Amino acid sequence: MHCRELLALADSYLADQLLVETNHAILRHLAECPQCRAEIEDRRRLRDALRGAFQRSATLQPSSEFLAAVGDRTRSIAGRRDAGRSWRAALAIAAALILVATSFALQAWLSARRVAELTRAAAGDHRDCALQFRLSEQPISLEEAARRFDPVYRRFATVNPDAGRVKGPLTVVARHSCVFQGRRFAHIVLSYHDQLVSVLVPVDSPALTSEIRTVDRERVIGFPTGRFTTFVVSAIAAEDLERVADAMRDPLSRALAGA
Amino acid sequence: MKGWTSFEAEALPHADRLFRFAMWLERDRAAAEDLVQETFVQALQSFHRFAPGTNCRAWLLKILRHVRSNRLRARRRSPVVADINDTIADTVPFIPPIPQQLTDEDVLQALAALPEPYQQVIVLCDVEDLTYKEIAMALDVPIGTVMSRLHRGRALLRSQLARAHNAGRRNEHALP
Repeated sequence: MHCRELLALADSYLADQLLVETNHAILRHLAECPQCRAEIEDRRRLRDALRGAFQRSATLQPSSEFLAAVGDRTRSIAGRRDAGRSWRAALAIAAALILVATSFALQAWLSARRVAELTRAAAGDHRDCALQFRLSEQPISLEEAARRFDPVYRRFATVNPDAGRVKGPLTVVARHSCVFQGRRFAHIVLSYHDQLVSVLVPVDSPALTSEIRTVDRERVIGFPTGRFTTFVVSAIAAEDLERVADAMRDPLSRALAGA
Repeated sequence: MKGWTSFEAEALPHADRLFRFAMWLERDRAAAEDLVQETFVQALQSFHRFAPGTNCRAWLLKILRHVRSNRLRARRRSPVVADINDTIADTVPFIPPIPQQLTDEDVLQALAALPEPYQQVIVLCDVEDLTYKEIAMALDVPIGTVMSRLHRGRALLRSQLARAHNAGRRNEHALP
């Protein structure tokens, strides 16, 4: 390294901004060159003098009150900002809860509407198919329904009531698949004390989450059977309808298991 | 107050050195205090942008420089034009030796006589111990500009010191 190169790098050397190799080259040159050594010492002295002058100057030092005030002010701003964030977070949580509650309420309302609609359809099918034979579309056999729509219809062909659960004879009068107002059912017609009872399963509708009891012109009991809903409809006394429903519950569950 | 805790630990310890730099630039205590307060408020608001592990003082100095530039603009004072000062510095003919006796007053007066861009880089490098890269970030200038300003600024500083020293000696000889 020559003196000219060293002088060009002298400030960077003093500021410790050079690579280790360059520092070594400078140190080697300084060991042999008293003029450059003196120049470096001069620059170091000026640098130290500057630093010392700044540190010793009373004018340039902040007061302790000012330093405390900076801390207080920023702390106060941070506190207000965090409080604002807390409020915004609380509002966001409240809004989310309202949204979830509304969603649940809407789902419950839709579910109730669907159940009411299914119940009305089951009662209507019992009236128009089992009692008055006035359906606009003729019923078809369960076998045909199984072929055309869903093999699960075939399973209703062998379901028989559990006679031990009723008082008196409970017999199957008919089995078929019929349509009421566009909704297709698997329909088992029973006779109980000379009155007709319909067991109706809308195969394309999901199961109820709980049992239902409704009374209109016909009594209707609805209960989940596997992934389906079973409706038992008749005008017989409520306790008799409960017995018929109980008589059908297990046989249906067994027949539809795994469907 | 998690953000505040980090801010308190990372940024607030630099308040005294930030004030010293602000005071050097403003030459007025009230103005310097106001500048530093505003710098810390802005730093708090954008503390999420500070990269942990980097030099917080350099980051704060950059904010301070922005705040001061905005204030100067608002007061319709023209911003510092580096090229003009660089041209002045180019006219420095040679680098005189540094006087043997240097008082704090000599050094600070000589520094104050330089154009501000040179004062800034010299203070940030020699007093604040920032690296060239950190100075470049704080002042928003390329690193090459930092190096050339340092070189020319130091040459100007030495000229200024030599001039002041020679004037002092002449005054001494003139005494009866």
